Amino acid sequence: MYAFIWRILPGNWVVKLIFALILIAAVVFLLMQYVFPVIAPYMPFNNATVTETGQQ
Amino acid sequence: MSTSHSADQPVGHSSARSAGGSVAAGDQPLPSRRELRRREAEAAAVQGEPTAVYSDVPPVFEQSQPTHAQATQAPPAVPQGHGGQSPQGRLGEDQPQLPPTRQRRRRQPTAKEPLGPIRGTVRTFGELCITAGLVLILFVVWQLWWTDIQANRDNEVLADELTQDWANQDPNELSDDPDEPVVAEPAGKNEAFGIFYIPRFGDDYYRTVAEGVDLEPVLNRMGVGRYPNSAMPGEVGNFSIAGHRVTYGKPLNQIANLRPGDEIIVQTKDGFYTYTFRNFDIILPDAVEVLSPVPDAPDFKGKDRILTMTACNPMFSARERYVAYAELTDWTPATDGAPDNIKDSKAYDKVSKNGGA
Repeated sequence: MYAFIWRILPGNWVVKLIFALILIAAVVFLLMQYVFPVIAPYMPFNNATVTETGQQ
Repeated sequence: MSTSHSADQPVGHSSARSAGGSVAAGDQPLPSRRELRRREAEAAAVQGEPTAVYSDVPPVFEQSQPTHAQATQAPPAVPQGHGGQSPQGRLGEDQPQLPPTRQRRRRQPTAKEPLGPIRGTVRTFGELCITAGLVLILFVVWQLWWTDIQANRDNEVLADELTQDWANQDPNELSDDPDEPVVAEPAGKNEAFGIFYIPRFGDDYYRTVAEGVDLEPVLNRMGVGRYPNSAMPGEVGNFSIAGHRVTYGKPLNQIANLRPGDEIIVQTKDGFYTYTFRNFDIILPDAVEVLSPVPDAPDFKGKDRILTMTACNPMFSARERYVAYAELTDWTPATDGAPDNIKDSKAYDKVSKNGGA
């Protein structure tokens, strides 16, 4: 998978490396900005309230 | 390759010959270090492998040490090739092409050759597993570290906005009795209306309090949240709030460090409400009766002004809730300035400087 990505990236290895770092940064940003906030409420340590059902 | 083969022969022969003459050479004064090493290796090889006597081929690979020592003169690939081919040492003499085939074989895996379907699938699966692990690590980093940074930043911005709003509003009318606190006006859902100062949590501790206990946006971004339908600060009844104990700025991280007598100051537009911590309890998540005006006794109306704070317990778990109860002991109108115990604190400095409240 990673070998395939590396192969389809254009340029010599320096350009490939820059593209790869940009890709990694984009994935990290998307995860932290959009994915993690969605799954965080399902984690067991974020409940701070008392409710009738005992759930958040 | 024929040159390297011929170059190899004298090396083996010379070392074999010198093995025989090593005893006589021992008497000569000051042999060179290389010579000494060679003799040592040769002696060891002879002792370890007696069959070496019968052939001049085995010494070639048995004495890979001395040939290595002499490799400074010979091309290094040749003695290595012979040393590596030790199981076929005798064959190696007749087939000088072996070292190149070996080299070719070694180079093969690095050559860009598409993987077969099975190896390709296995490799992709492995890469996906590693990626999943990295994503999980990233999630932990995000949850434990990044949410704190975000929430602390949001908290500062929100407190600034709040104090600026207060500066532009008229405070509520004070009652005739100076001991009778002004009851804060109810705020809209997800709206901040006050600032908590808890000196026990640190000199620079302040957190905004907003209306509602939803994770988003209140608890995750706006500090602590007030349970809807509970009392407002200064009101008779139970002013109940909830806050994260870990992650998202962890406003109630040190809730278990509160000691009886510790003061919790809530600043609103009207002034400062000083609540004094009395006791704590650890309850199950569905024990909503702790929010009633008389905690644990929901049938009674109560006449005290109580503050109840809930957070998760133990940390990183949703099994129980930690509850801290405090009681209103003092009230200072905004015009009189902050009470003494927070007047000089870093937290109040910061809030008052930015907002000018």
